[in-house]
Amino acid sequence: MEPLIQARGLSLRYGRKTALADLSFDVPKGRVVGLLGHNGAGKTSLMKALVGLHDVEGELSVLGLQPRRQRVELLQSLAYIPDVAVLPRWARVSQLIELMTGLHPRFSAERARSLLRRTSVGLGDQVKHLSKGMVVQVHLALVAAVDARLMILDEPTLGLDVISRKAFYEMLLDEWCDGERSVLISTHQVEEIETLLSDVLMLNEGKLVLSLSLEDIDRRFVALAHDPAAADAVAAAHPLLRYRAPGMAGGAAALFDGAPSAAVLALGQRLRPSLVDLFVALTRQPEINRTSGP
Amino acid sequence: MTPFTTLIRREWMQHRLGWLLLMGAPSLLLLLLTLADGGLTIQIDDGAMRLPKMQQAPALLQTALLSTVVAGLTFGVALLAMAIQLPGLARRDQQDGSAEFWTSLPIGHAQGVSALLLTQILLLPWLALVAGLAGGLLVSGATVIATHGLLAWLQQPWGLLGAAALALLARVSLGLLLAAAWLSPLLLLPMAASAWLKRWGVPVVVVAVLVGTLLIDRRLSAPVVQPALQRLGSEALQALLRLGPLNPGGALQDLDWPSFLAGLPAQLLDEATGLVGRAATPAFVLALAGGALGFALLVLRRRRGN
Repeated sequence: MEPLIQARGLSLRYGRKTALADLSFDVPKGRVVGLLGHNGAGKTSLMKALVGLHDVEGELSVLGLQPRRQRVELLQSLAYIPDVAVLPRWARVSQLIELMTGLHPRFSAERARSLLRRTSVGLGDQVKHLSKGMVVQVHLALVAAVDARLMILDEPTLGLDVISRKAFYEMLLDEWCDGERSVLISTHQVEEIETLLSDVLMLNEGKLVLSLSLEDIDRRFVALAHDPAAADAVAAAHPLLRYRAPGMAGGAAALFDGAPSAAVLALGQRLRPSLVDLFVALTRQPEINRTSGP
Repeated sequence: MTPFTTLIRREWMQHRLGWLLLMGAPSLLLLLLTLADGGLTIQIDDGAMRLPKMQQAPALLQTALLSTVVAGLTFGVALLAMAIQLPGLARRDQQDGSAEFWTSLPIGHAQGVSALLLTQILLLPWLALVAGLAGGLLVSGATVIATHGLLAWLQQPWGLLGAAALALLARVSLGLLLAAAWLSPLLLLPMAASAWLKRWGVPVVVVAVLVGTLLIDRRLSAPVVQPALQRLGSEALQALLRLGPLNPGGALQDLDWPSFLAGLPAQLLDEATGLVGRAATPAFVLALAGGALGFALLVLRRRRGN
């Protein structure tokens, strides 16, 4: 079955600066994919390329369409939240529903109203009088009311308090994810979305350093909690990352790409690697971070 | 509703308060002036067309003249407002932070720009004209009733007045369309400059015009920039204001108004034919090309992102 997103050798440059370098990945249907990366790693550039707002080199197919050439057709089957608080401030919520009804052929006004009834936002409310969290909820209700196959969310909860973020993700999971549709979501709050994700794309300085499902991450990467006394022996096994693990036996831990030898494993207790630790490991590792020079 | 009509509806939603003020304020102001003042004295065309004190004028003259004046004033105010605010509209979505919301919707860039231009350049002034005619009816009605009584107002030749008003509306609508086409380089290129150069857009256009008229033209054996600008302006004014049939000359109170109104639609139609003929020139094609360049630059700006 054809993936919803297929990228091969995808590159994007702003003048002499390379924003995305030779990315290749697939996003199949029914997945919740986290797009992780530091500021400036290329997350927004990739998302804009996916919705046809940037010219790219290489091959890119989204829902079987070429985003740049078929942007309007693509956006009829793709829901996109580019950022928090981008709704027009002059509009009332009812006006936004009216506009979406006329502008989006797959938008259901009734569904949007139904979703909004579960929030504290009224149809007569003007966007400029809503809190940031409320604006995000309105935006999510609007895009969740689009009968789309793919949703792309670029830092949708940036700057929101924890309650608003929780409400957002609950609404996303309850009202949109149905096992058929896919979501690509970029965020800095890795810990908060880890439990939602099925797959991870990790960008570092425009390069894709990881593209795996969480099951494969569990299989491939090994975290080992160990006693400080075993630190030298663990370090000799060349882990990706050594870090403190408060609450774990010994208080120290190491992250390996692939299982270390039985002798090293015997030095501590095997743990499930956290996405945050993996993110830190892969975006700090010198050989991966090297972007220039020999 | 189609996406295009929805985009036009969006313009109304966003700007309706300003539009309603533009369309209603002139009528309200003239209503107050007409009722409060002892009479208006207006001279048009260097006194060739002489008006009496408005409150001493016959009812039909009051109705025809006040309706025309109010409609013309409302239309003129709307045109002026459009010309002033048009460059700023190129970046309004960036300024209110909603540009990314609009680009996330399945709307073509050209479609978005077209809806904005159509609404602001043609629809807004046209609606102002209609609102002005309606307001003129109100102002003239109040004046007639105040000076001649309700019966006089009811006994107006409404068929003739309606036909003349419709003919005038059609003539000015055509004039608006042609004036917008003639002026399209002057309207769209500053707008495009604003879209690309942000706050420097309009100053850059002004400097370019000054350089063209003060430096380049003087070095050429035959000036180009100033005559071109004058031609665009004069053609647009001709299209909008050259309403010869409306000026019968002489003292208006002595005119046979029913005959004049009855003949007006045919005269306006005849003049409109001549107006269209004036557009069949290379200059008009060049003006359209300038407008098309401005439009393309606006679309390209949207396509390249913000």
